[in-house]
Amino acid sequence: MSNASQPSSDRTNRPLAAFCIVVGLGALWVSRNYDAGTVISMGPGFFPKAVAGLLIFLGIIVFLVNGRDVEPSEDPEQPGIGLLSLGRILLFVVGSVVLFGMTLHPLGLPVATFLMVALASAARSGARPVTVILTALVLAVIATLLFAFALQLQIPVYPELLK
Amino acid sequence: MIGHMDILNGIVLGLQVASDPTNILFCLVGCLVGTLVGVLPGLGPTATIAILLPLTFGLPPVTGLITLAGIYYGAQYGGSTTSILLRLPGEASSVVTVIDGHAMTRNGRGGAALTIAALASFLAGTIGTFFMAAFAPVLAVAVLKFGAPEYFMLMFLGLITSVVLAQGSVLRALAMIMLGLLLGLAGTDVNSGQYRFDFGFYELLNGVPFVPVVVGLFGIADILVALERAVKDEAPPVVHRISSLWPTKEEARRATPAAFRGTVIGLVLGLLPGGGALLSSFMAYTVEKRFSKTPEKFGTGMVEGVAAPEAANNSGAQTAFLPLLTLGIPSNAIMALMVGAMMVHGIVPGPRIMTNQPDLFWGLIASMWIGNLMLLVINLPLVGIWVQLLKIRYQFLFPTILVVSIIGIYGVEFTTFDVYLTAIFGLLGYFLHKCRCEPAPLILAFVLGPMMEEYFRRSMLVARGDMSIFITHPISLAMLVVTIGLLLSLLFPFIQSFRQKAFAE
Repeated sequence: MSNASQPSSDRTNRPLAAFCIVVGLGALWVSRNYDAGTVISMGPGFFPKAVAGLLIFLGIIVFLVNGRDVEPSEDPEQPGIGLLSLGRILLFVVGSVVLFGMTLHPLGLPVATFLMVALASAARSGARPVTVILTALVLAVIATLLFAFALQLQIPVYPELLK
Repeated sequence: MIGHMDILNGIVLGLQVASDPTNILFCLVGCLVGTLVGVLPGLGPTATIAILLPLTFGLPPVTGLITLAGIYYGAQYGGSTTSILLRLPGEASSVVTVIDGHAMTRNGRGGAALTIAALASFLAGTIGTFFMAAFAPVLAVAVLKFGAPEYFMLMFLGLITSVVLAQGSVLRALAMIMLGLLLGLAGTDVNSGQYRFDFGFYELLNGVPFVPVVVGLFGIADILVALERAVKDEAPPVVHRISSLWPTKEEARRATPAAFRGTVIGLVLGLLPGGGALLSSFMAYTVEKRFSKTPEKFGTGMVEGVAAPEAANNSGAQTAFLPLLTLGIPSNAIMALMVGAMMVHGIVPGPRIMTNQPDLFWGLIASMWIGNLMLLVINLPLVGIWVQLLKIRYQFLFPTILVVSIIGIYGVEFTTFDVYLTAIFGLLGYFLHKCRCEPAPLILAFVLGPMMEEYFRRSMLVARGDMSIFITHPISLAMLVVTIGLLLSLLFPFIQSFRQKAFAE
């Protein structure tokens, strides 16, 4: 490692290390009752425990190496986009997928698609309401025609109330 | 043993399957859609295949896989187009094409660079197809001698190679492998029937479903990252005007031998587990530069610097199918997607495909060649249209990607559980991207995990718990030596600088 002596500007190693260790410990805890068996005849617990242990070990190493394993990021000083915009993007896009999952059966494909696209499009802070609604409308129609009618997928199209 | 007649018969059978009107149509559709999505900014072949994967599940197995192969080549082709014209490599494997390809565009030779890239790819694809047709049967016979320890070692070697060749930190790639293995272990243990990591969801009893994982990690995470970037800067890419598509005589004369050299390099390196297109294209570029009489001119628009890596990544992409079709082992993330697709179609990849499903095996090989031909014929005249696609605003693009992939996911198992899983893996993918981890090793380990566990347990059973079984079997020992060599090579400064240069872009 060429830059071993320099302080690293990488700030990602701690969350990553924490994530690996937490997931590893969680996996160990969940698999605590799985039988590890013997070396000759391994039980269902052997591999999960071994892999979880290695994940924890690597998490600790990531923490100790403290970011010296990656090139310093190109723009460490450049400010991010702000927690508010970032939170909006994550919440709206991921939320739109969840919303689709929740509304597909009760409301049917066109409505669920409309809601998903509308919510996701609103993730961009400069989005204009008219554009968002038009995009959602067009995509809802296209998706219904393509998936439900052209590809004949067994997807609920009409809202449950109308049946 | 398999003789020449069998290979010839195989090719004839393959051409029959591939030239079935339905298959031709879907090969064409795959190539077009693949190019279309591959050209779009920020979507490389892996993400493209992940997003479009569910749409092919409604097709018959052979047609579905032919479509996917078409998407794969189309996406790779689209990636070279954006590399050359816009300096936007869709994936690591077209990074080196950017160097001289974009320089040619700046010199006003962008059209010629596109043609050379396409012709070199086609040449490599043709040779690659025949290479596969000739070697796959031989290899498939050889691997029938493989026992559990050999299989385990081969997969171990593949994982380690993918780490060594991964972009960025080796340490983080190793962590990704562990995460992927763990994910792959969920579901019912085949030996004992024990439910593992099912968290009470019956949907997880057959393991974590494959499609939501890849669409989440590649598709949704990509959208999140792109949206975050777009908030920072909204400058649209600058498209240079495309000159005449025809290379000059001088350019053609220099590009032809380079394309042949690149093809050979790709054929060999594509076979390596963890190798494939990326390593091939980089190595081909290095070789051209080393053997050129004017190495200092590389970077200023040398045709050799376009022809060789493009040929190499295409032939490498093709031979990467060999370990999959003969051993059933994916050598990189894209092949892992192919395994996932095969499993959904109820096909178990491995040496038995060739004897049990010759139409699938040979049809796929023949369609690779037909796909390459189609790309050449359709895409060069259409390059103007593809470039126009770059002007599509992201505000319309990302909801479309979302709609296609999410409805597609629902259409695989018809359960909204998969939709929620996709959302979770999207968030995970975003987090890992922020932590500068590549999702590719994770996917590879996720697919290999259950197989590795099975073969390891079987090896231990056979050897009565004696770990030396991996050393006493010669093939297994050879692979172990290579694996250890690869790990040690990380300690040498030469390889370090090689990796840094390779991923400098």
